[in-house]
Amino acid sequence: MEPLRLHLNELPWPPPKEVLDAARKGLEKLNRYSDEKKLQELMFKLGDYTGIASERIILSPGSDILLREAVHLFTQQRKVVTLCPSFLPTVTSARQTTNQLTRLRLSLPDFRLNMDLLKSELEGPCLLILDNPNNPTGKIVISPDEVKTLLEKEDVLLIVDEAYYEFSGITCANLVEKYPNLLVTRTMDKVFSLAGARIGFGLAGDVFLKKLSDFFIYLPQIALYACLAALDKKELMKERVNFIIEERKRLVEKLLTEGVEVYDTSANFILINSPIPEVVEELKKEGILITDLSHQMPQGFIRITIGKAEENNQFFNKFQKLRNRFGLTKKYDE
Amino acid sequence: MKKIGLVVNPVAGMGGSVGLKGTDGDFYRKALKLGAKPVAPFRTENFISNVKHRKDIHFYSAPEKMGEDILKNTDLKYTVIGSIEKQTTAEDTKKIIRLLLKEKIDLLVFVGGDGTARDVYDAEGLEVPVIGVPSGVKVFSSVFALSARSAAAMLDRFLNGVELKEEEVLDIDEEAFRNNILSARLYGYLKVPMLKDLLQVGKKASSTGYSAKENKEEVSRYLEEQMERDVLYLLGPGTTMKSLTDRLGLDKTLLGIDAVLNGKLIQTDVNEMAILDLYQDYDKRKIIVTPLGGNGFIFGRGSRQFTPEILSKTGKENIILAGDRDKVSCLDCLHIDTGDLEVDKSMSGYAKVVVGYGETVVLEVKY
Ligand SMILES: Cc1ncc(COP(=O)(O)O)c(C=O)c1O
Repeated sequence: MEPLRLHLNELPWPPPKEVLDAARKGLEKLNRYSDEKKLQELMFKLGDYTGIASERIILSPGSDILLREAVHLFTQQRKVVTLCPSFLPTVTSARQTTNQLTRLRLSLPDFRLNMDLLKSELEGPCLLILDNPNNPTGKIVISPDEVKTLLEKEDVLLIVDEAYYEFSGITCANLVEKYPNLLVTRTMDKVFSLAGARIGFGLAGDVFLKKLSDFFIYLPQIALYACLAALDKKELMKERVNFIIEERKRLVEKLLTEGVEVYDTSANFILINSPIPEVVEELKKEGILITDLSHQMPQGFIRITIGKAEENNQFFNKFQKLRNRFGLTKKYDE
Repeated sequence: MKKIGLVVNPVAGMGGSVGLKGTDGDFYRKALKLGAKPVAPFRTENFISNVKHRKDIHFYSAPEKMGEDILKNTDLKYTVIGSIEKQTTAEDTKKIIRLLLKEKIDLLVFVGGDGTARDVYDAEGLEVPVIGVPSGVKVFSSVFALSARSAAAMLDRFLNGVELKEEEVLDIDEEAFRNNILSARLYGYLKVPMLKDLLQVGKKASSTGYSAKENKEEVSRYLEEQMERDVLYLLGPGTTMKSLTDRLGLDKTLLGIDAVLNGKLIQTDVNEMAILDLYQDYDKRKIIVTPLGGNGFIFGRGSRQFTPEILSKTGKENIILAGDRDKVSCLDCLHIDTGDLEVDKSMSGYAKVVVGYGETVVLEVKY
């Protein structure tokens, strides 16, 4: 049996029929590079979706690749400031190119980013990278107003990674028109049910736009056609997002009632701190994949993607079974 | 055929499920009364079932619930050594390990927590390499594998020949830990097989691409470049500091504090009096220490040489923190508990820990 994938923050449903049909059209043109007009059309549609001029849109085969490219282009001679924990591939890219990397710890219980501390770190030319909501804490770490105050510093370049924007509803997108030193990255992979298509995009302020638009990006045909069709199904996307948010709340409530140390988020996953030994391995044996956070969080932290209702229940039941095995489900009085 | 010793602390980890932080002393009986279930046999089974090179090993095991009971149900070759009391204690662990050493084992696998690691250190020091399968409630010592499965992977790797490294055994004050006070002291070191990808589990989480050794070299290269002339450096205990002195061509005491000036070792294993004497002679001074893995302790009741008086004479701005990237990345915050509230307060706030060449993590220091 296929394992239940609750480890990569994907959406549990395949794309709708219209999107799959479009992807098939793309498949038939596999001997060709993608058509410039179609790529233009995608930029228009994304401009429409985000409310940003389409010239500011940078296409990329996955937002992780765009983040890597931006980091590689803009870290030379710059100090890089980012978070710990955060989306690791971006940190790794920074480590490859800079000799000045500072990560600010987001601490329990609320994983708040201390703005005074952050500002004190932004001395001289620097590149600040914030995933907002943050992965894996799922917290909104900074507000658009706070972002503005940072962007007033000319020496600061700021990348805001908004991979989970549709779940949080909070964005800095409209600031890219005014601030040349801002890049916002987004992805089609999560909420449009297109992780396998791998399309990300950036909304670039002038400084970023200038360098990132040096190359013409021919996206893969199938992905391009699928994305174009998916952007016509925004209502479905919103329904799916709302469903996941409701499910997230439900699961958090349920876990809280059971006395589990659980952290709610502004994204499509939750965090649990559990004393069950090797809980990731144990759940894997039961056919459920979740993410071990022990590289970036204290021992015991795991991340679970929210899936369909029955999938979340399946996780809950298996998790409870494990807790039971370790005597964690009953409450004892001394 | 390799001879592998096996010692299981059968009660390790039982306190956790019922909210007790450890099973030392009377707390074991309390844990039982609260309905705690044994964890160690389960961890041991998990370890054993994941070992791949099953034909190339012969276990020398402690009797009954300290190892034999689990091996009994497997296809593995084993010999039982010695005898144990009905209610097992630390003495049983130590006694069996001494007997295992006489059998000339190549490696010792032990299952337990920090307390068990201390017993192992008491009984064998650095004589044979060990693999620690984590099962205790307090597993802060870095001698432990990440999980029973990675312990099994370690054993397989060991059989193919692998480098060894020294890792920390910590002494956590269990009474204080129950009251949510973390107090830890470096107790000793054990030799463990080096497994580069031990920490690399998740796909996205794994891309640092550095081994612990490379990381230490990076940190020490950076620290060396930052060292200033005519400044007295007091280097705390641990392998990160040792890699710095190795780099400088100096011979450091692993557990002690050593004084370095202009690239020369001027005094080793200094205590408070010796440090105060040195402070009379040198007015520019810095302390470099490593936060303890797991709990992030920088100065505590354990590291007695860095007394409140010395810390206030040194000043927060002259304290440099440096450590292993993977370990520091998992810390939620740093801890300080010198026993002097004023000093703790003056050292609190935020601090930077060097974890790579020019790479730092900024954490809150809590007291
Ligand atoms: C915070 C964050 N940013 C970026 C990405 C990358 O998304 P993609 O490469 O699929 O566009 C992810 C994926 O998990 C993420 O969690």
